[in-house]
Amino acid sequence: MLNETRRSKTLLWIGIAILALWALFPYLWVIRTSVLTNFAAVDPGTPYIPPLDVLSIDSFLNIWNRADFPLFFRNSIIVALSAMVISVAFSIPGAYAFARLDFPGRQVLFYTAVFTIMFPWIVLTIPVYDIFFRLGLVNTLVGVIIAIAIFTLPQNIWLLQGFFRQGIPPNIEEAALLDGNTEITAFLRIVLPLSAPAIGAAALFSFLTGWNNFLWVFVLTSDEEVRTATVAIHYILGSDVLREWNILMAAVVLLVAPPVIFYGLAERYVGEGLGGGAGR
Amino acid sequence: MAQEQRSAEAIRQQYGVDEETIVDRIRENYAGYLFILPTFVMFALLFYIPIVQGVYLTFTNATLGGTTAEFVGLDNYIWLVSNDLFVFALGWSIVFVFSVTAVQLIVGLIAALLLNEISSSTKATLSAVIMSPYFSAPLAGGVIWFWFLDGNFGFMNKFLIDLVGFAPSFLAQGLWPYVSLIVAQVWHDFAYAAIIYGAALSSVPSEQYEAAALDGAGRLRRFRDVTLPHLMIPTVVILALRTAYNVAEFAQPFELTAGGPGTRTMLLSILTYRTAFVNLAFARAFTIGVVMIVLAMAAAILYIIAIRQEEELYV
Amino acid sequence: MARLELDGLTKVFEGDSGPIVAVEELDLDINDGEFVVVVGPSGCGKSTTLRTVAGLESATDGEMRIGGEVINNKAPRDRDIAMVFQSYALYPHKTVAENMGYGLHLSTDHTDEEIEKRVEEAATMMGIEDLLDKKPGSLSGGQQQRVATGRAIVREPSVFLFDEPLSNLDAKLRKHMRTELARLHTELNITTMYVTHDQEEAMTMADRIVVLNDGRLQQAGTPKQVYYEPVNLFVADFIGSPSMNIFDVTLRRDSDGGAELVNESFTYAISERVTNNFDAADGDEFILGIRPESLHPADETTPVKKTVRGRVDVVEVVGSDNFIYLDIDGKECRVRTRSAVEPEIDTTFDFTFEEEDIHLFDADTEEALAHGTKSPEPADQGVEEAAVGD
Repeated sequence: MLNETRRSKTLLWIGIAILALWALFPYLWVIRTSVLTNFAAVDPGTPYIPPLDVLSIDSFLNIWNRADFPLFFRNSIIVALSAMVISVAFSIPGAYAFARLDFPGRQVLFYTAVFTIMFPWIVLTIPVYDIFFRLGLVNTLVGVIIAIAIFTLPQNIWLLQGFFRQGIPPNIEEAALLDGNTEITAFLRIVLPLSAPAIGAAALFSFLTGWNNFLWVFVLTSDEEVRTATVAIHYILGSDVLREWNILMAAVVLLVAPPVIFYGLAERYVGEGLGGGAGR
Repeated sequence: MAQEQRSAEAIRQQYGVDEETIVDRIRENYAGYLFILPTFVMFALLFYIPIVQGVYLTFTNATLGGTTAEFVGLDNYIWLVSNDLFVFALGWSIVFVFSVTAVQLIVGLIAALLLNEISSSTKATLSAVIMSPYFSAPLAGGVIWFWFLDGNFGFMNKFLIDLVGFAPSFLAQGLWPYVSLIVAQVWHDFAYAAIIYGAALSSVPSEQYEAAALDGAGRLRRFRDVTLPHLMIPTVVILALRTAYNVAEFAQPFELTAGGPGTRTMLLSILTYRTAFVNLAFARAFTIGVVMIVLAMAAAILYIIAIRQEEELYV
Repeated sequence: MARLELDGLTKVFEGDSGPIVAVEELDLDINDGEFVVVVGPSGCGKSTTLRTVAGLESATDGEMRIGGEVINNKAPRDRDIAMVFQSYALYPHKTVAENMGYGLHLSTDHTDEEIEKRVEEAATMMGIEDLLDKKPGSLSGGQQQRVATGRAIVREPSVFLFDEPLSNLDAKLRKHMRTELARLHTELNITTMYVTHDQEEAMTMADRIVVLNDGRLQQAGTPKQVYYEPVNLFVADFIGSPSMNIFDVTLRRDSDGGAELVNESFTYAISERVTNNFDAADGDEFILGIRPESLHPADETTPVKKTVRGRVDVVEVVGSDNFIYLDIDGKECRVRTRSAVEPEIDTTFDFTFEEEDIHLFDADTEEALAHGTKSPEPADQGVEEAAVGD
């Protein structure tokens, strides 16, 4: 009996170790490169675990005066932050309507919302580009922000409607109506204050989705001034301009670290709510 | 009872339900419509209108920046089925989507089952580590695997040369690019299945395991009789959502091989992009897109049926 | 001075498969200060009625008046009502005092001191003055119930609405709160409409009981009226626990004015006093209803034509009484007896009942034809004393 438990325990930990290794190994190779010196990064003779004398954090310092990286990361923050504000502001009333109000047409709208979560957005870039082209929004941060705000909207609605359904006690708005509110003020005075944690979570996920986004920025911009970090890394990798691999990998580390750390910390609170495709 | 025998029309007529005008309905449900309006405007702006416009495009010969677009009927669709690259991309996309989805499902299930066995103190940390690929930017995933598999500086290359003296070119040679794309995609998104399965596993009431254990059911039997029934709907949800996402996947495969070498690993998403923004043939690109939409829509319908069964409430 | 009047109130929902009539042509007047309990099985429309009066649902047809003023198109906040929900619906982020004072803050121009004073008064009345600074999340179910009720009384509305307010409490607490709410009503004397599915709650608390089924009013009357003189089989079956025993019987009249109720299992002789309540036009097929508490064991002196025989199936000992479940040729019959009567399982059990305790219903319409010795009075005339039970 004891033997069996011990054996299955061992098997369990071996399995966990393999999974962790599988998840982390590609990362580790990138991190390894990012902390090597310029030369060691391209030297095939550098050992798997590099000796101290070729280790250096210069790449993380030098990145800030290479190839406009400060601009790219700044753009990333601007885009993700603005899109987050718009998207959350628009998703709150929508999610609330889906979760707690009833009106003819709600079901159809809800199904389209579900479908947008699963939509191949690459297809949509074509007509949207056409529309934005006519509106003069191509190659502007505003255009990118609008596109990403709408792109993250379904995910926010999904997350928030789940909270509104389960996290807000039943009949609470009705009690508020009887206490002297209208539907609107009942929402603003009672439901909204109760939703602060969920809205915070939605905002965080929304920010990180915007931060991770590649497609919309890639399609809607061509100028360096409006480029975000994801797209910049793509262009640098595809060109011969900057072949300082350690610096490029440092940029990748800086790009990947915020979402992985934040989601990692929030993971236990996320659960199924994440269904809205945060990783896209 | 008696009132069920009355026809719907009789009830409507008796109480004037049909006489309600649209204005009445809007007034009665004003709060609902007011709250949904911003969402509706957003969706209309970047979803409903573009789709309608896009479908219209497929019957024209519109190009990027082109001022004139003529109506060409079904030409684009005829071009589509007679185009070898499209036919190849469709086939390879289907292989890619199904194999990636299947492997993600299996790896995700294993991860969820193993993590479910761990005590809660270390579980959160280990989950965060194992799930971490899912949260990285897909483009970064592409770069990371590019670097891992690189023919000059990649780990696989160095490792195999040190071990056996040679290494294939993982992103160019033979079947390797296909395998690489699938493996990288599984790596990035298997955690999605693990998260959904994890939630399902933690919702299985422990009494059921205890009851089964009292009945003398062994480990495997408990899994089959207690756990498995709780995983059926999550499985459908994962299959549907991952199928749709994998159809739509662009950034990571684009970064990893961009459909190359040449067009040997061309996926529908990359082909759509290239047709639209490299060849500037908007109309043809959206025609390819229509095929992707149909694939995603099939998955979406499966998903809606599944969540509807799980909880009527979500409708 | 607030009388609540419902005039032909109708609520139709648009369901998935066509319209559903939840409440149909409901006429009901609740007098000033009256405590009316609306009962019925789930889905009978009682909660919908209450929610429509509160303004949480719109009326499809009919008129609602409070104090003579039509409220159909008024917003809930303008109807001068207070409601207690089954789920309590307390604001989780506000303290008990804030919960109770919130309505006053919003809808009156009382100063903070006045509101505080009234909240304290109401809290004292409900015995929750120690909880005023706590959040609802830290309170027990019973305490939350008190806060919810306190929140309603602090408003001093014209009409109180209660939507199954005690359903989430355990049995003991429920009984206790029942008496407290009754006491509260005597003190405040505010017009009250109270919805419950628990007929015992209705019997003990109500000035008047309103029985709904299938969206339609079945009977409105004092607890005694609905118990002793149910207007139809539904009310007879719904009110009382365990519920009334029902037998299909045929009336066989004999020459001297008396008659017999004949069933495949028994024959029961009735006198002229009963048969006088209906004539030949009513036919001779009836439904006999007799309450479990009206049955008692037969002895040697009991005439054969007053005796019914059954086989003992189950004996339930509840302390004060015994419930005996009999099998009479495949039909279940419930008998409520003193605890001393405890027959063996599977033995035969002879019982009898008084002619005064029987109820006869029309076999087709299920309307009541006779209650014991008296014909049914129109329920609304407020007859105090019905047929004597025992």
